[in-house]
Amino acid sequence: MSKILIVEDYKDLSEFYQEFLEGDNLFTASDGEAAVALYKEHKPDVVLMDLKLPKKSGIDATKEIIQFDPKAKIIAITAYGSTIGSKALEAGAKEVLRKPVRFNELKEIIAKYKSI
Amino acid sequence: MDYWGNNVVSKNQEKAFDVLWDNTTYKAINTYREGKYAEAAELAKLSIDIAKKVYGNDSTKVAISMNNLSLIYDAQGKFEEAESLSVKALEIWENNLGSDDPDVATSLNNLAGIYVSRGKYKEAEPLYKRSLDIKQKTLGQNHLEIATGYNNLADLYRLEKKFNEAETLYRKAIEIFEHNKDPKNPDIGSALNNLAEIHKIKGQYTEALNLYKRAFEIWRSAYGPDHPDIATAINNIAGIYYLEGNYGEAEKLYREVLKIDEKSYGKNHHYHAMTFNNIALVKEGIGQYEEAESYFKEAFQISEKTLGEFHPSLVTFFNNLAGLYRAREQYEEAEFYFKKGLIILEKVFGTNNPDVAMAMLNLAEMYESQGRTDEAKRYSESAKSIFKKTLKSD
Repeated sequence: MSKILIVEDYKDLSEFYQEFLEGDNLFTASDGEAAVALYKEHKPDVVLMDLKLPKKSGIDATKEIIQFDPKAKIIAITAYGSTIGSKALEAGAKEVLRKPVRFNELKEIIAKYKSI
Repeated sequence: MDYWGNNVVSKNQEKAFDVLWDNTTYKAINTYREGKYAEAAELAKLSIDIAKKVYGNDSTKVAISMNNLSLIYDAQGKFEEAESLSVKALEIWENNLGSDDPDVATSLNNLAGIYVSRGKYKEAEPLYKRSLDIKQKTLGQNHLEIATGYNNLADLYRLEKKFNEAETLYRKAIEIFEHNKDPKNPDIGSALNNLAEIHKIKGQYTEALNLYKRAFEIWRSAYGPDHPDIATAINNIAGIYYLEGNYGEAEKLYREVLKIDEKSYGKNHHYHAMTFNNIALVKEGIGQYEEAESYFKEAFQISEKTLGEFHPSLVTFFNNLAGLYRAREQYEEAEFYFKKGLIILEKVFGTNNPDVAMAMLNLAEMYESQGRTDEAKRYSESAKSIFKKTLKSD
């Protein structure tokens, strides 16, 4: 069982991720500050990070998490194109997925980072 | 009576049939290598018939012909037929030659490859291992075929996401290739390229880049500068530059890819569209939105022409363009292209598909952010109902 942190402020999407990842040990945050705090507390194996978030952006949360743990496996997810996606990569995200994410792509990528 | 005219074969006829089997088999292999699979399959079937007639149903030549046909079926995506023929061929080989013959090893390797094509990874692994074991005993530790065996097993581990095991075997394969002092062997290029993939997955971009570059050099020496595989190699290098944020280099290389692909496939090919999409992503990454918009549009226009209006490959281009519009708060355009993507998904995969639900949820999120709560609710509920049906049955 892997520990996965879901960071998503759109409740319906967050609920979908939770259902989709049923069976793993899940933590959820709906803003950047909570994401950083939960990461520091639980050190999850994989983070699904939405980039447009209240309180602290997904980019800033990614930077802080990477500062705390340079090996953090953060998969950034955005509906706002590759400008913000590039910033996420610069901040240390391993990969950027564009919304709407394809179901199998999500499955594959989570499986990949769980196994590294 | 069959098309051979009768059931009795004389000595002279047998010699003639020997030549006929050799020629037919040779022609089947060459036609297969040229990518003419339907024609190759007919020749391979003929070759099986000749072998059965002349040498008997359980002869080694029947096994060879069956094995050839199974490889053709595998390339055609007819995996079930490929598997059944390959299993029969292996059985004949083992009965005739014993279980430790190098030809049995080759047959095991081919069957394992078919299992991989069918996603039966667990069945493939012991076959690859047995094949490797036979080859090590019969050919020694440093034979090129051992390197190929390591490479195959490593590819399987990569698919199974056992990245560390895969890395070890790719390295062993490369060592053997290097030991054999065959620096232009394109198989070294493949092993280096695959090892680079592992480093890329692990986020070790510097190592990945060096290995991709070495693969590129080897393939260029082996195939020349304009081979389609060179375009793939350059594309891989460009991908790392993109991930590293080196957009200038990435764009330069994507343009190289365009030139090579144009020579191989012409301007109206889906590969061209994919490269335009990559250039658009680079342009978007550096904030050149108008150029990005026009490259995304070029990408989907080419694909619409070459693949048709409702091909699933178009969905990525539409969604990328919609994402660009959304980031610039051009919601009307964003909605238009997100919906175009959704329509294709519904048309291709039906309404009860998780990708359809993901696309609906994405639209719902955008509507919610615009305060269009009724539409958001409608899409979100539809998405949830699809997930309920599909996630439970997954």
